[in-house]
Amino acid sequence: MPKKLYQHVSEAPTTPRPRTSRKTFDVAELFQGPAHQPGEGGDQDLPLYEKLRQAYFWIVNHAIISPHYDVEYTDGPSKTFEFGDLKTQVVLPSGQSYSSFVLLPLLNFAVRKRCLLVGGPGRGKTATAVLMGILAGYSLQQVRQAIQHGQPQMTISDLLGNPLPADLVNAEKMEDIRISWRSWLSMRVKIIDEYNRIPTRTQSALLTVLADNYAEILDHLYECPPAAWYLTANDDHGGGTYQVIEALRDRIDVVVRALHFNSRFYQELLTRIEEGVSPEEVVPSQLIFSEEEMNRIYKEIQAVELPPALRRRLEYFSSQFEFFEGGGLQIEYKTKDNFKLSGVEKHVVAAVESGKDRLKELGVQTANGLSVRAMMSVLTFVKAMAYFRGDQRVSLEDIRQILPFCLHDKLAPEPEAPFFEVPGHEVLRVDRVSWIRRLFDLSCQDFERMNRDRDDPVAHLEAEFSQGLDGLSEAAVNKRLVKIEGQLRQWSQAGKLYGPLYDDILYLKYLHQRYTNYREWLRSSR
Amino acid sequence: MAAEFTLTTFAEFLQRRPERYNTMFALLRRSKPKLDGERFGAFLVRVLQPLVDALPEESRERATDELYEISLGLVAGDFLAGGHPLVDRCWNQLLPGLSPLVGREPGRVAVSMTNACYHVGQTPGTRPDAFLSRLRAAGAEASTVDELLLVTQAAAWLSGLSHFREGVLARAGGLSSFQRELLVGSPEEWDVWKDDPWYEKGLEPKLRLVRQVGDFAGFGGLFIRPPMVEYAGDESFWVEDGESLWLLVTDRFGATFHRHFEKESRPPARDDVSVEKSHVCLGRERVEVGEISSWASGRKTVVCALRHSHRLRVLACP
Repeated sequence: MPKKLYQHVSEAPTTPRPRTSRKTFDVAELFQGPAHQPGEGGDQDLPLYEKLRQAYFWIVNHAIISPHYDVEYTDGPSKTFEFGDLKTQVVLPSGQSYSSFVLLPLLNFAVRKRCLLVGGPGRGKTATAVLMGILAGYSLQQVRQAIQHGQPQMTISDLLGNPLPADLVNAEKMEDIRISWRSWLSMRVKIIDEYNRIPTRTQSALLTVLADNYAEILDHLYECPPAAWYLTANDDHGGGTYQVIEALRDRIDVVVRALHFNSRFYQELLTRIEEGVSPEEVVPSQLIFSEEEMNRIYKEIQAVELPPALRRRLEYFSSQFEFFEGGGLQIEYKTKDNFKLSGVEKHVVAAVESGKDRLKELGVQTANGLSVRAMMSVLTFVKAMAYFRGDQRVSLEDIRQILPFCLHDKLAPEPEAPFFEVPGHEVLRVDRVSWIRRLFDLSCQDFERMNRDRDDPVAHLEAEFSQGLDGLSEAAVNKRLVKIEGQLRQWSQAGKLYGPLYDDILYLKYLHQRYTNYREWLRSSR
Repeated sequence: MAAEFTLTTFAEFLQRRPERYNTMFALLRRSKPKLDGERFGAFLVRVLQPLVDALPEESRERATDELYEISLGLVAGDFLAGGHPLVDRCWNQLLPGLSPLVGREPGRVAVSMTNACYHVGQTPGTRPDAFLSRLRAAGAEASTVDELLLVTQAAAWLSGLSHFREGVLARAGGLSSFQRELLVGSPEEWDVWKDDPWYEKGLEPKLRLVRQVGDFAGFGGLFIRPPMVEYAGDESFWVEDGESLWLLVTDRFGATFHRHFEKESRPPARDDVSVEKSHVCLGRERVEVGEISSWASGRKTVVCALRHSHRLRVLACP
């Protein structure tokens, strides 16, 4: 019997249930059939990740005109074709694949972080953000009213609210002045349209709300609820009317590109014009997430496991980028950040790194390292990705697919790196998603070549240390110190210094110091 | 001079949010390309507009929104506006007579009545006309939507959906004597039916042939060869034709077959019933049914499968 004919919400991808023989009849079944009440069909027992997927499929099938399936998962071999002189590859993924332009905003909705939608005008950036607002239970009118449209005259009052004029005149103390806060501050989905058109001073006020979740006017604070943020920009390099302040850019957890309109969908455009179609008017109510559901979904995502073996791969990948031998003399200062702070031109210290294979060293490809904030975004979103797919554990493919969107604006390419000169690699200077994914693939290859899954000397020392120091004898400490020193000696004789080794050395130095201090304490307490 | 015309409230509500209603239609037509705008438009004008405009004023806006969406889905699925006669009659004849309750909960009432009509219309052997007339009479007396639903369930059972017998009788306390009377004509019978599914006022209790059910698949029935029967417990029976398995539920008002995939047989509910080649025997009573290939007895029902017939014989036992 056909179900949910109108506003079709994809059925939860049910694992087929065994057919059972049931001999009792519920008379309420008389009222179940082809007719459905608007909004009916929401299954209270449906796992929230299923609901999230239903929302995804509804948007892809009904709201977005030409979805691109650029987040590719495979389930067995996938057919691949090559086109043109540049051998452009087209993969027909054998697994369920997704449109990043819908998927990432939805994951951001689930983890309540900050998503930047970038792309040319009229590509549906704001429309996607509006849909997220509707999924959070707001009416279309409420969402539209709450959108903050960036424009050059936007003031802090426009953004946050006003002191009440009468209070400004009559108040004797600051605390007597009441503030009329803007209603968008209380919403669980916040949309800032064209954020790069907001004047710098107002951007700073926005930063406080975005980063610390409160607004401040005349010593009055307004605490905002946890919210999913959507910022849109026509140019992801901050080239709007105003330069976007770096602190604001740094707070963005995930960047999604609005891809082009496929001209084969003209008919769809025509229908929308002729029939006045506006999908945000008809989002099925069973796809709306209550506040409680949003809280629960976030908790469930937090509980998704990142297996230690995959965490190691992420650690290995992250360790590739910060190390810069010319950044300092003392080992702790050999970083890109230290070098950047010095203001010295790169060519001045370029010779320091001679002798290494600059083509193979992944760190050479980037102008910076990864911030802790970026790593936290990655960890959150890979969990969200696994959750969305109904998994309780993150997979390597989840990381591989999500990483480019989290690091899109966090990992800046070094345009002069030899890697980009290799034929076929030039385009990776432009295509950051592919470049970051390639970086991760190369890092994983390196990880496997080094046999780090099985042979990780630091992991062994780390495991020993994680048992705690309580009750450890001086003799045992000495033994461990010897092991650490032995490992460092072995590495020092091996040759050149690269990012992963750099982090391992610093970690062993840390362990060495902890054991040394403990030994000192043991001796002094005798 | 411009032609004068007055917008009805239903039309006004549609025109207030054209994007919403057009989008509903356009999105649905993507998945149902055969959705015919003219057919739906004609339904709106001929059926939905008068239905909504007859509702209390304060409920019209909500009714417009909900009934538009429900009916659009039904027209798209070919259940309404020509697709399913009893569903059409539901919207044309039944719902207008239930205006006060439709106004109160438009979506719930329309969906419940539509689905009930769909089930009655779809199930072989039911009596749709009796269902509608019972429902129109007793439903008009319902003062709440819950009461209307109860009346509908009772009407569905009394019109042939026998498998709802127990469920309806368990809730029958919610029906007034007047409503019971409107439904079936003799309110006192209701209590007896709990114990005897074949009770008929004025009939002497004795073993009697009450019904023939099932038929050859070639004549529109279920069975491809003469079926066999076993007792399934709770006055229901397993019926198999070598290919498929059904559960048969039958009583005075009808018989329904329900497809199953595995069975769990039960011993006969009584041991005083026996068969002799072509006869069912209870004490001195003997009823001829034809050459019996298998039979099963419940507490008040005996079902016989015959060697040369696709039709099962159902007998009532005192």
